[in-house]
Amino acid sequence: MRRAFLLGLGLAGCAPAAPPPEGQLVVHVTTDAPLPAAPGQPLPVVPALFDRLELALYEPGAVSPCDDCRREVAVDHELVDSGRASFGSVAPPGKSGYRLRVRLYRNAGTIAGTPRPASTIETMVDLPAVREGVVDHVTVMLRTDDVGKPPGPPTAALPGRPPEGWVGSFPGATRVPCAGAPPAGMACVPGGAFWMGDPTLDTTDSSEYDGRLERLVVVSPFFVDVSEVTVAAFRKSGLATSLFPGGPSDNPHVPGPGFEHCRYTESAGELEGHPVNCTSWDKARAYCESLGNSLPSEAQLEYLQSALGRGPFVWGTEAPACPDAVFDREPGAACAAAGTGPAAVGSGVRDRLELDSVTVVDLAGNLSEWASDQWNRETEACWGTGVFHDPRCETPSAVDPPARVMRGGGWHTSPPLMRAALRARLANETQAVSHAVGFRCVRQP
Amino acid sequence: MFRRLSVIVLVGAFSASADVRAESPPADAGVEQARALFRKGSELAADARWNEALAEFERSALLRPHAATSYNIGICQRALGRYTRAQQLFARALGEGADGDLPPSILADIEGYLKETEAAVVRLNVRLQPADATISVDGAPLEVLSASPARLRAGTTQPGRGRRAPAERFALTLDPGTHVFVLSRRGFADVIVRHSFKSGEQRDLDLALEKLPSTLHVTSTEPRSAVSIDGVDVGLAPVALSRPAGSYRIAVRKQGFLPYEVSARARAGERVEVPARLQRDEPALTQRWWFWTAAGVVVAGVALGTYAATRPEPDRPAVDGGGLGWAIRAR
Repeated sequence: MRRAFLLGLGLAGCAPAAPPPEGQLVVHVTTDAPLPAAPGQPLPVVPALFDRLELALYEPGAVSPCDDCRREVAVDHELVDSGRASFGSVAPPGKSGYRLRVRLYRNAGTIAGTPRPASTIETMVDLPAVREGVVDHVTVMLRTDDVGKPPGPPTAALPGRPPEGWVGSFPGATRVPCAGAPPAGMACVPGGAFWMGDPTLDTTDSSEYDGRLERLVVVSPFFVDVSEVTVAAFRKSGLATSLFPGGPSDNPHVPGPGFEHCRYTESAGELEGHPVNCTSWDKARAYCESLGNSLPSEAQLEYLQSALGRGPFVWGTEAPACPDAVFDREPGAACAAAGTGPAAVGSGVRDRLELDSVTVVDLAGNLSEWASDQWNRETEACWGTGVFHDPRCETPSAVDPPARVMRGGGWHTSPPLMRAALRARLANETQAVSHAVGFRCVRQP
Repeated sequence: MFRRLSVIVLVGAFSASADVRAESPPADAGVEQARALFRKGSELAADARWNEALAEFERSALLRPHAATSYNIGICQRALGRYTRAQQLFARALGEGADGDLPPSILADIEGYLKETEAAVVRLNVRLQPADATISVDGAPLEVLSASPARLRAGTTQPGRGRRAPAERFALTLDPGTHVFVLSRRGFADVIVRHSFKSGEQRDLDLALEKLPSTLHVTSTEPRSAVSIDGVDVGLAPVALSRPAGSYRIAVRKQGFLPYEVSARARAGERVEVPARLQRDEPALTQRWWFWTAAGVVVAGVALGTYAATRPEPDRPAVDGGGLGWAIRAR
């Protein structure tokens, strides 16, 4: 309005010269992490690792942000890469000692919306003094490799605007293809980064289940069996054994009292296309090694079961209906009408993941699966925060009896226990042979 | 002392059982195998290798159930600290041995072990909220001993999903040690919680599920509008945030538009859509640019001389708020 008034005066030929701008900083924030697509843009190939940004300005000597000096905003690739993740800071010219705390964090699924240290990149920077009548640009760069690290002493903000094209350049997050085509019956799982652990799981201080704590995991590409190992495939290996010469097989165990849902039979029958269960961890490993393969790590299994880090189930976020996967099939349970016990591989209509035109099935249900890792609680030595590259736990738990990890849900579980991040343990003993657990194998390209 | 005694009794029981069988008519291959497993189990038990002994006895029982085998399995379970399962096996041995399969000394021992395990198990008065939630302990449903009064036992069933308890309040016996309780009900967040108990402990245990949080999904007709919930700035629309069920005051603002404010009530597990329609802040007549342009020309023509003497300094350029449109004025 006042401009219009001045324009009127200007028309009268009396416009004065504009004064120089007020001295200030424009502070930009950028990162090498993959971020969500801007609204309306197609989903990126690589899932976002962070989605919110918190900015807090501290005045000289202050231990908490000044009034109205803290803000949290949703961020996306376009906003940050174009340099618009920025704000203005006006301070008395020449006065130094202003600090800025920047937190880039993962908000997904949280209730309180506050940053969790394990999934936050945090830094404190010293801002340069404002110059009289000058607008200076500075940049704070957040590196994915610093996730989970406690903030060190303040560093200096970099002069200038942020570089373009840096967002999403974190090497670990790049989808890395396999070297070569997958062997028959296997699919290539491209390498990449994902959040292992799910903060929305309520596994309060449990010794049997956990998976609530997050850590950023980088997985190298690998080949994986397209289904859980079948009875037919196991029979072909000739590895089934009995403790008694001429007696019934008990590893894998054949059906019998107490073992009603075991699928392996002494001779080939109707269940050859079912996944083999009632097998010990040692036997499962021996099977994989007999083919030059190995058991998958729990990180590899969670990566797969979360559709390469996209959600709690391979199909997304919603709980399954009975046809979607083989689950809740205990006698009397919600999906028992479809039959009790494991079903033929690939029976779940949505329990499948397409990987370069190859379909991997039964990731959420049918059978829980052995992982190669020793069981460690998520708070123990094998795990922690930061960036993990192809983790595999080889050290027994210091607090729980020796056990191996099993991952994923199965015919016996309800949807809460089918979530990709849920970790469970099972003793590697002969008695631990379970009709709920099967396995699949992996191979390094 | 008692555990050592149990080994001696165990071997004795096996011998008695084996002697009885030796006098029986020729056994089939299954019985012979069961007998061999029983012997192997007894040898392992004598060395206190309870896990291995247990496996042998359980295989023997699969081939041929017998009161002595059930008793020995109970002994192994007791030695491994699984008192509730031991109780179940001792009770089964008493039932199977009702026709004289067990000598009186063993029967007396069973009575003693039952008393001992009764003193060792944990007794809880559980209150489950909501009452129709399913519950499992250590990955297995609870065994219902009686529906009224409700008495349940943990550690004696096959692994499987939780089941509803017969009542909101029930008595639960379980082994001392650490146990994982899994509670589940539609509309509530699943709870997986661990509790530790000492031998012989008796106490109340409240197990409650919390309702699922709600999701507030705020969109705006204008991109990059600032959203606040109960006065707290939560970012730029569109924004989706989980919050506990309840009422919230949601405001959506953007420069040049009238603020949009609304109250939303979110129920547990519900997703509330808040589509904000922002309307331009239309200026009044006196705020139209042409009004003041014309006025400026007129005033300038009339009061040029006065203006020259009193010419005001124009404002500095506005502070640059960056891409977020946010400028902090620090002291």
